[in-house]
Amino acid sequence: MNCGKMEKYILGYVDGRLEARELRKAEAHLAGCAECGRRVTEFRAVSGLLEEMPKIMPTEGFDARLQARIAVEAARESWWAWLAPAPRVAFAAALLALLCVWVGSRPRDVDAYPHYAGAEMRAEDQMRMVKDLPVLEDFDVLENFEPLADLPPAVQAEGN
Amino acid sequence: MWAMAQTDVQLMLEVKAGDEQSFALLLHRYRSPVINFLYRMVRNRAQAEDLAQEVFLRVYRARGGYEPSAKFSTWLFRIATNLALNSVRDTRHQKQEISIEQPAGETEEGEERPLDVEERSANIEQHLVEEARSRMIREAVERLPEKQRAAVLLHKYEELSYGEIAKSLRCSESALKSLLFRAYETLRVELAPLVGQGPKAGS
Ligand SMILES: [Zn+2]
Repeated sequence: MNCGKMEKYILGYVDGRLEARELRKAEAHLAGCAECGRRVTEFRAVSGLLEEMPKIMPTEGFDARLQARIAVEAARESWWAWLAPAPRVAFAAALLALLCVWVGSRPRDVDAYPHYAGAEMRAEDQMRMVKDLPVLEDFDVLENFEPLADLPPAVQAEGN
Repeated sequence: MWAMAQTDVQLMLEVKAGDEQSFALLLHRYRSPVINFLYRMVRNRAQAEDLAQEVFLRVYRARGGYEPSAKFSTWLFRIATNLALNSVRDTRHQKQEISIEQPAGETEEGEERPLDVEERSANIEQHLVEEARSRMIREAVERLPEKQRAAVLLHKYEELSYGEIAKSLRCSESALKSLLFRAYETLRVELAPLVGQGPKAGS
């Protein structure tokens, strides 16, 4: 081994990471090379100096701050897990929610379906609603829309 | 007792299975090494903590896909190294753009606490010597190019193998050995006044 090759082994030699075969080669070179011998000594000294670097401690709020972020993350994940076993269902649910708002905002139907909620429908119904959505733009079709027919009949609003 | 003896991999598999307590244990085990590594990389304490939060948040997010094929700490420090290198590079670009350079040897932490004038002269002298020494070491490390710096820190403090460090730095083992050699060559020159002195008393 020559000095150039030693470059890749010298630090491994200093901190004892060389394999037996590499170690024998390195030792053979070091036996006859004062320059690399000096480097070993100085690398060893540098390694010791690095151990003197002071350590900092986490600030007091570190754990709490992280746990809060983890909690937000966990809550978001469980929400998505519940909502979206598949992207199509998530899409359907979003459209359904929009539909609810839209239906609910029609003046005539205010308070008509006080507990109208997608949760009461089966997934098949939700999917069908989504498929039929363009048609739903027609009021008449909406009036006769089967899932809506299952809901309690409209009653006149009696104020809030 | 039993929980404390669990390996990182066991803990991480429990995190994967939904156990928050195991995550807290891993956090406790690794927050200090991660923060210190990041602090040496970005040279700013608040930024180091922010990045450390990001590291652990990413570990948490990735828990579902965790496979115990690599050592947990290798995986952890790979995330930390990526974030650190990106942050250092971003910061440098920003600094170049607004061309505000921090004076050499200053940190924004104001960590070099002013000397207490009440301290007796012997203490002051001792203190100055130690402070100058530790400052010299710290600054020499901080002046290393970021990839060399990361290599030195991972090699010195994190008990990772060459192969594991190389993966963190996305380079070959051979390239890593060159990085480390160049870093130590620089350090032995920059720290020449200390290198001759031998280890500090008591260590
Ligand atoms: Zn030589």
